[in-house]
Amino acid sequence: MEGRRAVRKLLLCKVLALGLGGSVLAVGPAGCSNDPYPPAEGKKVLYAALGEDPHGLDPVQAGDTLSGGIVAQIYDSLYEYHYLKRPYELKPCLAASMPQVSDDGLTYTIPVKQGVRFQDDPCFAGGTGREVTAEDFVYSIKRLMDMGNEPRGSWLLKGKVVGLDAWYDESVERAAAGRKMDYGRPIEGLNALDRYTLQFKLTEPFQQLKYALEMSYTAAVPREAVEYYGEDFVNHPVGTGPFRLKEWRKRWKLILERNPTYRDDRYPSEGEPGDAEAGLFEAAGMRLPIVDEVHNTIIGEAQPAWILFKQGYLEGSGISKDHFEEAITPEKELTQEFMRKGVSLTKFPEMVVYYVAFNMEDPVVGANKALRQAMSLAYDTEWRIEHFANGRAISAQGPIPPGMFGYAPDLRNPYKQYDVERARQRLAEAGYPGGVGPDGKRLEITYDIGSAEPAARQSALAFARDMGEIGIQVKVVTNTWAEFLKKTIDRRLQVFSVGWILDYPDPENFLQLLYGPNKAPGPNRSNYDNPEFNRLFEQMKAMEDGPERLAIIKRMVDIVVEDAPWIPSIHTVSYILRHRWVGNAKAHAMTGGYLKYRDVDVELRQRLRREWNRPNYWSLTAILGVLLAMAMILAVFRRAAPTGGP
Amino acid sequence: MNQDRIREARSLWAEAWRRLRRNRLAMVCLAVISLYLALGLLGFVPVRQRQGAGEAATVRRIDLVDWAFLKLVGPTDREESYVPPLTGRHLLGTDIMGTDVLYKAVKGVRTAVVLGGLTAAIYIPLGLLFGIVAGYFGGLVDDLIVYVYSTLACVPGILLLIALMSVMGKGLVQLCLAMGVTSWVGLCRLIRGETLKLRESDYVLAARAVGAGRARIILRHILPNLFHIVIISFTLGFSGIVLSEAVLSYIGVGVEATTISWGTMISMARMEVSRDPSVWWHLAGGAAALFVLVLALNVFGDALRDALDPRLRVE
Repeated sequence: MEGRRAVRKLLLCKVLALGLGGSVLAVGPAGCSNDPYPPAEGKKVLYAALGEDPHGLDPVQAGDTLSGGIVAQIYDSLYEYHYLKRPYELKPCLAASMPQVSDDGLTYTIPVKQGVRFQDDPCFAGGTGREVTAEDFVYSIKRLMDMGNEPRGSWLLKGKVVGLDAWYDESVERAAAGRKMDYGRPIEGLNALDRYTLQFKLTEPFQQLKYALEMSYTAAVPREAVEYYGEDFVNHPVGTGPFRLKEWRKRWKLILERNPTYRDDRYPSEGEPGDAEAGLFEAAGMRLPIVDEVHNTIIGEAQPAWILFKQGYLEGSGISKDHFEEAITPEKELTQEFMRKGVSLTKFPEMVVYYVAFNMEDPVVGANKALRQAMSLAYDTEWRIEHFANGRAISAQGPIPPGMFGYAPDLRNPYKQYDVERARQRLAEAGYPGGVGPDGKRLEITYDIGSAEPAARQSALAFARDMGEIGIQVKVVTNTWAEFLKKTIDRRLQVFSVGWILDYPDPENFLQLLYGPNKAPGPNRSNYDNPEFNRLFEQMKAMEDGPERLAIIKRMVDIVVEDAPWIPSIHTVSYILRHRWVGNAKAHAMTGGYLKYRDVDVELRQRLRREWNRPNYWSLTAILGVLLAMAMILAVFRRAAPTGGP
Repeated sequence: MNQDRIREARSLWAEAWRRLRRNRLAMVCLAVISLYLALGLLGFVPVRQRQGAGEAATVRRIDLVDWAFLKLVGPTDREESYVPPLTGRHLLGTDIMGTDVLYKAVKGVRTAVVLGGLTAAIYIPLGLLFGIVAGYFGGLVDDLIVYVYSTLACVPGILLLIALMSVMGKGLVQLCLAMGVTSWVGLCRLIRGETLKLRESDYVLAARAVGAGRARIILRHILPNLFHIVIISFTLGFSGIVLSEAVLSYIGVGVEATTISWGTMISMARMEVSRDPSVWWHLAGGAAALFVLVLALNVFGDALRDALDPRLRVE
């Protein structure tokens, strides 16, 4: 027995020694940091987080803001938004100048910048990127309209360019049969007149074409890369943009690095009042991009990203509703903790509208205007803004968000004023007194959401609660985003919640969501079709901003308010936090390649990170103390215990 | 044989009950389970509730749990968001919608009872039928059934459930159906083994010798001797079913969002814990209700197994 006890004691000592030694080693000089990144070796690196992996980096598929945000750093389009000027203004990017438009508004001629090269890539002969020509845009736009590529942005040019719809229709047939399109086939309205001149012939005036040519959907894609990489092209972007893809490990990280052959692009020296005071001109004239690398870590949950931001390992962060009170005071300013750290807060209204859509082809809600109005009256927007958005939103009254031409700040949608009594009254007028229909049964509505996330489900429960107040029973159906999209396309939904983030700064982009010919599978997901609205839309879309256009937009909004195909919910206000070492950051409502302007003070960042992440020796000492005390107690206990045994 | 002797020869069930009664922990667990069951059944008792006054008044059907909470705690106030426990009328606090957490925990019992009951109603007959058929007839039928359940058992349970739920859509009934058709394998194996043993027993041989048909042998001689397995499997399986619901609802493929269940409570509350100040009571309410039932079921199931095991009969 004595022998076994001695062995046990020795073992115990070894374990304790290992534990202590390990702990000391763990905080030794080599590993004395919680820095999650490898050393940058003199490079200027920007650290950011992505909520998930992009859904591929093919420009024609970059329909969501996350994928679009990465694609726009790698690919360039013909036009881009001025970084600093407000209201948003387009300027040439790969185009040499703004488009020359014929008098009838039907022919757009666009000169393409000379000497711009695609990034070097094995897909090109000799591995050296070749020059971009007008033919590349013809090819890229054909790709956008080829269903074989599963494009997300075909709606942009559908019905707009002569001959392009025929190409699109053929691609639908061929994609179904698994056959490829012949890209050599000419399209009447889409031509490269010479090496550097592109021409569009339109079926009708479409003044939003220039905006469409800014979006990543129409970015220049080299045919060589598409053919070389085949189906894997989504993982091998080859563009002309300021950055190129260095490394992408799914569910871990996506690293962009400076494109060494990027054209001569300079930081702007013009902007809006206040930009100079904000230090936004300090880099004026500097060659872009300013940083060498952008290191994106893919972090699915909000909590770890928030902690990394607070430790200084992410340059900026949004604020999830559950962290709001930690960062923002009830007066909507930064809390002391964040002020002390020198964090800056930018608030800016996002050009977005969230709404509850009624499927106008549904026999119950689609055919009953009074019912829709009653549901709209029972919808408690203020509660949502307070509890789901921490007050970071304004109640939407119509489809157009603030900051957009046509937005009427004084518009008060009579069916968007939360009033349960009026809602009950209207519901009775709709034929459902107390929520009970003529057949004596309680009205049941199916409400679909496109995510199983707690926030989406909470919002659905709030909808069910609001409708329950007036006696309508709601069945909530949770879908994956793909299922949800499929159901909207097939017009199988009854009532559902969606949002629209603007693509270009023209109210047409929001009003087209209600234009009859745009019904699903188009962006008009509520399948609203009002001839008067459609007529006004066609008239309005080709007009320049002015009082006449404003008057037409007002009439259109009035029609929508009365018909209530939507319950306009909220327009959100974005709150962005940034550390003080981030330079040249200006909020931009449009998705685009703005990381090229961003700067970072590496030394300041290094110093503050070190300051904020000092190893906590105190807790370590406490752990060591506890371990030692345990060892001593055990030793005493062992000695005191009776020897016993046979 | 004298009368006293006859009185002493108790049936298997009476003997098991006598032994169970001696196990104090098992009896406490049984009381807990009964309480849950009673609460669950209260959720099925309809009550007519008048809303509003005068001509606009409507009659709404609610259940007894709703009614009790309406009387004791009062209606949900949407402005009472995230009220901490032991504040005012809310014993366990409220969630973001101002709903009482205790109310949700109690409502969750009904969902659990429906889940357990319906799922058992599907998987027990399936397991019994296939188990007895395979065990009794053997040969090709046995091969076929063993092949089917071995194949099913190869697919991880949760994945199979997710696949089934994606096809059938969300809902309590769908969930019961999915769990029912995936959870009969374990029971089937046990029943098959036991039947293999029983069909060779003397009394079955005797029954066969006096000319009893297959159906009679199975129904009168084998089936009654399998019931203890079914009861143990049901008791222990019930907790597994309730846990599976929680797991599936957590990943968003369980019951509908409007159905109150412990799984949806835990799932909805997972981000609230990291709030500052933390909202822990919503998660704790759902988890505690789940934990107590699962623990009680497991302890009771173990005790029941011991009580029904003839080898452990000690006088």
